[in-house]
Amino acid sequence: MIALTLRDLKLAMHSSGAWLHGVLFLLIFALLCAVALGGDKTVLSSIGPALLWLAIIFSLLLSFEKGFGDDARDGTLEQLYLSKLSLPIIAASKLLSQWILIVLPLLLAAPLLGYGFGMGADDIRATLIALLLGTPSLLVYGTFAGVCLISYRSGGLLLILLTVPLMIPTLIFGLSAVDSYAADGIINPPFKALAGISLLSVGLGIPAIAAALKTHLETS
Amino acid sequence: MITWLANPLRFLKFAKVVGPVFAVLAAGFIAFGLWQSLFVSPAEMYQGDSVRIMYVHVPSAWIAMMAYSMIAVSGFISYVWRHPLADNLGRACALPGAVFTFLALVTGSLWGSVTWMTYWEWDGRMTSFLILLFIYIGYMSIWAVMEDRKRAARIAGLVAMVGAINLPIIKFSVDWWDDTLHQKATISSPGAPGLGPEFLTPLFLMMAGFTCLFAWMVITTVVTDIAKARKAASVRAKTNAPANVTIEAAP
Repeated sequence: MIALTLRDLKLAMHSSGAWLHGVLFLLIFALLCAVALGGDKTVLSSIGPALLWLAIIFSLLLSFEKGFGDDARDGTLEQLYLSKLSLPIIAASKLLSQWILIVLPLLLAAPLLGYGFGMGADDIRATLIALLLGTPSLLVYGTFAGVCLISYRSGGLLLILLTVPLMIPTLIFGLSAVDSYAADGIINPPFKALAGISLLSVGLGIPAIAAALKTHLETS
Repeated sequence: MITWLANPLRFLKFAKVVGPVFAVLAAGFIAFGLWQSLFVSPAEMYQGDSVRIMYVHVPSAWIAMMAYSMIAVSGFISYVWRHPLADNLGRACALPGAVFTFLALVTGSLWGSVTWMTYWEWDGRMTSFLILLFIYIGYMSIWAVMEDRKRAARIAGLVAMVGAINLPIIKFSVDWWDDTLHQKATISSPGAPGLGPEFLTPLFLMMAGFTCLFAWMVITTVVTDIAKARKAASVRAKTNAPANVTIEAAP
């Protein structure tokens, strides 16, 4: 499993920076928000956490299509299926590599955006913790939808349609976690709910992704 | 009963009898219910005549949720036992379900415009019904875009199950997020004021009517789908049949 994850990371290293597209999108989104809201830091900082969550969700939605797409196109997926590896292991290693390649750069760039929006250190810290707890669930939903639509080219809008309803709880708890951080620290219900949703979605998502992979491999 | 009906031929026979029965029942219940709700039942003390929207709104919402549960259950059956009739059933529930969800949203919005002075508010129930509508559209688009029927059935089943697991979480989170405007379950929750019999009679009549209407729609769609599949199969059999060639001796 680790070897599979490492393979994905090595491939990304040779992709001339394709993994940075998400971060680039994040910066563009921040620029657009700042311009649209008149560059007023008092406005920006008050809705900063929401803007950060939106930026990360949109950026993730754009990158989900890659997921297993390349592996399916060049036949790697079939080869892996024929090897002794079980599909849930393949799914889990892909989730891990996607998290490192797509989510981690976004999380590293998020404080920068927070500073740009003029958010306080506490707000930035709270948003970052909430994102850290919440993004695994977003990744699972998107990867699942991506695998479901793997054989259907240009399924971008459909992927968003399938993923967004599932993301709503994460977004709701993510934002209320930031709100309650100032009063209660990180031991408060929304943070726990976020962690719970992420654990649940990873636990149930791996078999679901494996089942979707199996459907793809059996019916193609 | 379900295993007995799982045979498409038996289902067709069953549908031939039951479909029209549901159609007649639906027409009867809805006609009687409309008469009850528009003429017999009184206007409510505070809301006046606008309370009559309830007789369409509540049954629509009820069908919207029932249809999704049926989709999820038939998705599970289709995924585990790969039964084609379960695919047909789930697929047939999707469009009526989406339409009733939309109807619930529209009637709710109209009702809200009179009683809450707003057509739309980001209240918990309204938001979660909007999300339900998007889930329906996503489910239907999978059937629409995938040409391979077998794959579409399996993926749609998976998506329906994942949606069903997530729906309670979505409902809970959205209610927790903002639950101020829409009233709670009035009839079923203990200690609730409840509705008087003069309101409940037309409401239950309309619910029965809507349920029969939905059942009739689903059965008709399934029968049509089976007929279509058969026609396609017979056309395929004809075109694949060996051609009759007679070889004549050259003159």
